[in-house]
Amino acid sequence: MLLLLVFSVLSLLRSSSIRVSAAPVSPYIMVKPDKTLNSTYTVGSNYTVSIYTNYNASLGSDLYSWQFSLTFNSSMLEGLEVRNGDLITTSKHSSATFAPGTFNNTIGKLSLTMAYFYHISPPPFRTTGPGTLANVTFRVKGYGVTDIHIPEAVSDPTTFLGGYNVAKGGYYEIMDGTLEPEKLGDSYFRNTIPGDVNGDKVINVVDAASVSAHWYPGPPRGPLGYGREADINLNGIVDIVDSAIVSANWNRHAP
Amino acid sequence: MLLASAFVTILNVAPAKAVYPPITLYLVGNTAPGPGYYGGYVPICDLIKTSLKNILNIDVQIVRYDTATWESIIWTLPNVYHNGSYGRGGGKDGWDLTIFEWWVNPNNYLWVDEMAYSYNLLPQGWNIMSYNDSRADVLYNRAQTTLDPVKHKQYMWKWQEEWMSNPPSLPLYYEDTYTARSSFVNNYDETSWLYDISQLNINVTKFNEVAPAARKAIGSDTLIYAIVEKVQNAFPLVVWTYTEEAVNVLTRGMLYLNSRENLAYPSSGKYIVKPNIATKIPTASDWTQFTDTDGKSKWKVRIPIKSGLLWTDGVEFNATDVAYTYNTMLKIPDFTAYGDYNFMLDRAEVVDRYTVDFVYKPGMGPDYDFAGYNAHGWGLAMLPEHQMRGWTDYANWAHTAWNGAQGVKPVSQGGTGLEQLGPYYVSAYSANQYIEMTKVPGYASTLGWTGTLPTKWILKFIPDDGTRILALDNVEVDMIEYPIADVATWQAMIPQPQHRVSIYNYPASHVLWFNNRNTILSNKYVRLAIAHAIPYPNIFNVLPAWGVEQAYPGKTFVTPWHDSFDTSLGNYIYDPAKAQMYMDMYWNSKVGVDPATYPGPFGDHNLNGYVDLLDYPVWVNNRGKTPGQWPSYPMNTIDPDNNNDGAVDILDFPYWSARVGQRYPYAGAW
Repeated sequence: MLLLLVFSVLSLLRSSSIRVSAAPVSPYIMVKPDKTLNSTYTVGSNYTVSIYTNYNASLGSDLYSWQFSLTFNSSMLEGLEVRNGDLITTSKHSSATFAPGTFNNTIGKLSLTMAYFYHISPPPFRTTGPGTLANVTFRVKGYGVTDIHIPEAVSDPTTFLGGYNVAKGGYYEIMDGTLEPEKLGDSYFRNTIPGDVNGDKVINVVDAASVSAHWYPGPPRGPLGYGREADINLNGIVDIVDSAIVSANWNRHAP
Repeated sequence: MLLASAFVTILNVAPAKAVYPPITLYLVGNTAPGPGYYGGYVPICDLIKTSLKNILNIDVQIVRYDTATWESIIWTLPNVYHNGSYGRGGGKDGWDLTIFEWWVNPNNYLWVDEMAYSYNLLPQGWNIMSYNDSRADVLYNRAQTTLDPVKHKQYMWKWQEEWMSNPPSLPLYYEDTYTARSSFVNNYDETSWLYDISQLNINVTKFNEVAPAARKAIGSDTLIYAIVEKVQNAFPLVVWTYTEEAVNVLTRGMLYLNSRENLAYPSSGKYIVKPNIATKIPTASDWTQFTDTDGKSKWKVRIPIKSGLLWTDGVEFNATDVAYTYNTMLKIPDFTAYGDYNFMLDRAEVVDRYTVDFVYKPGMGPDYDFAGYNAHGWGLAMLPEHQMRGWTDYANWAHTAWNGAQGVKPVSQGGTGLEQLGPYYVSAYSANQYIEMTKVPGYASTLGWTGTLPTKWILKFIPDDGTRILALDNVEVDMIEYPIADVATWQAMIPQPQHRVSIYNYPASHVLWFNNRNTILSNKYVRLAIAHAIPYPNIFNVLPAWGVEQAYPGKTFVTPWHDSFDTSLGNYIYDPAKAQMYMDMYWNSKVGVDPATYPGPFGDHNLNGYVDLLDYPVWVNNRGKTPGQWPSYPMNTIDPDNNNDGAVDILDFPYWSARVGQRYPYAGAW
């Protein structure tokens, strides 16, 4: 029976390919916080992330626009509201225009959201960061995990910071997420109780087996290599600490 | 043979929309009916003509020429493209569409680079379609300059996605196809061609069993290879034809070989680059980043070469020849007709007698695969520095001494041409009849080759497809270039002991080329309309007659057998409704069309399919202009006149702001 459970977990985990996020390359646009591991985000509670850039005066003061879109697991989160951040605002210049996107909570998507300093002739008003493009609030719908992901495919509208700089030819992209995906940073949200690797609301041998299967404190590694679900403290390795968390919460049930 | 039954014939019954005014495009092709670089793809052209007329009201005028004329129209009339106005209609004055195949050899990107980069436009490069997509440039460059294989794949996949979102041309299909050679020829690979003959040999026992008397009379130490093309140039740095390519790899040294690992067909499908004159594939430790005398940061790679090789006149080959060859290439003004190295290589420097440094241009990094770029017949064949020393007339590379009939043979063999450095030298030549080559003693062993090479090669000129196949069938020749026959012919050859018939992944795409200098084709929506109006299933039904065992939908130049092929990417499908949705985007943008009546592409100023902030600067930068005053070609058509009133002004802005986030002409990729 135990073997069966282990194989079940292995199969489950094998079927999902989960990307290990890395720190984005500057200048970047990222979702902050980059990770949330908090079981107090129960169903019905609100959860807010910021879309943030580190672009600053040392990199340039020529930013006049930004745009992004997001995707998320619609069984975990429901989009509620998008509010402008502090980067392009009317407090900086009256031409600031904010155009929030709309949520599609069936497929889990926030459509193109943008802000810019309106102008009909160059140069536009320009600013710099670091700062927040927008704040996005969700209602928690489920128990489990989700990425809050900035799309980067050619078939998606690109996420970018728009600049105007005569020395750089006028209008230009300070960073472009389609062409430079390493400059995008996603967020990872998990509201399971610590140690509930497979998300079945109970911590038992299946979770322990998952940690073993993904054991990866460094080579040699477990049969499935690194797995983010099994990395309970999300420190990039699956090791004795994760195993200890499972043990410490053994037989605990989620509400 | 499963192919034909897998599809039903499509009737091109979708009517042209009454609102579409007629458009005329000239499809300029070869007279040959079949496929290939020299193929006219006649039945496919006819299918396309009918379909585009029925669905899009595009009148495709098919104009056919002999090969030489067709080639000159497609490749060597840059004045047609550079006179500032395309619209000369077609015919000999230009082309709008053409079809021919395009190869991407298994493990290098050379034949993508030269066509894909916007800075390789004519006359600097060979980008005849005028692929002019700055985002594609960035993606491709990033793919080629990263040292991280994961990122390389990521960017190559994105580049393919960008291609299909904004297609510069339409690869129609890929294929598994037949080929054959005499059964006594061992270790010849149909994909790597003559690039690697290091393991080649003739099985004498088999030869004696199956060769007819006439062939036996020539002898088992001679290999006969049927070629299609003439020798136009004998200068090693300029390769125009496959025949010249064969001459290059057989008689002239290359630094690397493009091979298939373990040539025992068909057990291995893995392609590799092997050192040839070079002693090793460069590794990270061979690359150095340094500040050059011009103050710029550059990379250089150190390549050691083998010792003991002799030119046909007995002079020892050394690093001076290598550096001279590459530096001469960089000085020949129209070498860049092939543009292979100019964009990346700054110069070559002799380090010692057997070591050369290759200095790259700024921004060109170690992952521009130096070895791969050199490992085929279009790579640089070595020049004899000792013979050419003092020659400075770089514009006159087509020197009669080495380009006339006598120039095919080196001086040391009684000709007037350059000395040679290959496993063979040209020992006899009759223009348009044959080239005889004789083995150089000791060459193979110096390079560590393991094959027992034939003593002689005879390259026999047989341009006609049918005659070539017949010659192969009769064992008058042992191998042939461009073996084109229907599936039934190949099947009939399979049981015959004198033949070795095989099916292989053909490393080329069969491309409907667009000339994006045409202002209509420059509009992305028109190209995507055509992409959805091509009757692909009908085209696939044609292919068994050309020896295609299995066909696959075309996507980009990158074939399914290439290591960078994007397996996740969908393909275009024949869909008249979608084709017309795209065509609507073109016609709806015309001045006078009421934007309240039609759905788009209002607001999509840069015609990338989205209304977003990338459109905003296009509007600002062109405010005050009228249609015709902003650039329209190649491939960068814009339209900031949202309300179609003939002026870009403040009245256009609301059409953009109200449509932010909209995708044209429908949601989802093509």
